[in-house]
Amino acid sequence: MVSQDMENEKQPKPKITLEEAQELVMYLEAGMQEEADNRFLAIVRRTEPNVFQEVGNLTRDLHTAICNFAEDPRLRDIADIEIPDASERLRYIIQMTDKAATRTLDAVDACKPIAQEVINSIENLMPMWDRLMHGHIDRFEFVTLCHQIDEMLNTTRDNANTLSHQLNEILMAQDYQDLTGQMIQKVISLVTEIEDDLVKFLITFSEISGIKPKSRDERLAEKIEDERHELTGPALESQKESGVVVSNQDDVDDLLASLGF
Amino acid sequence: MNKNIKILIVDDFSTMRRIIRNLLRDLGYNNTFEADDGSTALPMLEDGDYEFVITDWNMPVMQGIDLLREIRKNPKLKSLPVLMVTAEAKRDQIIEAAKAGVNGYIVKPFTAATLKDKLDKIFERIDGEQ
Repeated sequence: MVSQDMENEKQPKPKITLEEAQELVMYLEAGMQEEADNRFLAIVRRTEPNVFQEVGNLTRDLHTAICNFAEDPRLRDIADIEIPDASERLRYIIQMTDKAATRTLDAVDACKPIAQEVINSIENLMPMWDRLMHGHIDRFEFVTLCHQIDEMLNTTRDNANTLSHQLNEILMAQDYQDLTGQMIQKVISLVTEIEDDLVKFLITFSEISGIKPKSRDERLAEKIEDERHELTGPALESQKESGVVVSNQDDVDDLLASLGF
Repeated sequence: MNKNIKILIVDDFSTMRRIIRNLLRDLGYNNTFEADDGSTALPMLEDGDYEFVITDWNMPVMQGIDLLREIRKNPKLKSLPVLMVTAEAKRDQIIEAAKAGVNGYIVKPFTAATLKDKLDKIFERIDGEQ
């Protein structure tokens, strides 16, 4: 900024005159280092006073901005209370989803053998039942069949009760969606608030120092490059769009096929 | 295919191990065991006569890709089929797993049909080679 202004002047004033140079040499030859230094600084200050003023202003602005930022009571709350609180919420969400998954899987484990038992008892009955339906059954077999059906009806009624109870368990285990959803919502609003503050902070600084931040796309491209060899877990929609990440199992299969699998 | 084949399921989340175990049971594979990361899986594989490994990628201590490399380096285990079931979906990673000698790659979330399909394909290929 400063040097441009100087260049734009049509006839630039000399930055140092012959007399001043001779004066400097005189001091130095006389061993008067301190006087020489002072004279030199005076010359520099005279020709480029803006630099010093600019640095001074910048330092003051920076100091004020940092003070404002650090003394913002909202920020203290965020750092001291809300971020630890958010971490706590996120940990709780892991616990809740884990509990819900376990509860559901327990219910599934309880139901599977019952379903198998129903299938087995029907398959046991089927041959004799078929004969009855085709009229190829004698009185003795008919009595046996009646007893078998009676037993099956009784156990199936109990089993159906158990199934219904376990299905209710699975139903109730889904309440985690509502509860964790509310917690995630709170964390999102905190993150958004911090993001807004940071953006304001960045804008203030770029005004002061003339820094031009890289565009979002540039930074995103860099981030993707940085994360090339990191494990990132489940893919986000934005990653899928960039093409670095496959979007589904078909893409995986195609990629592997192209490698000779 | 012999349904009594001994399978090791490696995943750090017990929920995912249970899901895979349940799906395998539905497909008729009942001889299944569990490990929670590569470092616990490896000694189990060395000592037990496992015939198939299903592993996650991102796990603490020893990751799935390293387990796969250890298996391929080990003269006793090197021909053991390994199916990777993971949320890691980057092209580079799938290629990395393929180069390390994985037999199949499934991205989470997955379906029972996908698991069956990949298992059948791997067994088909193994049977074809024998």
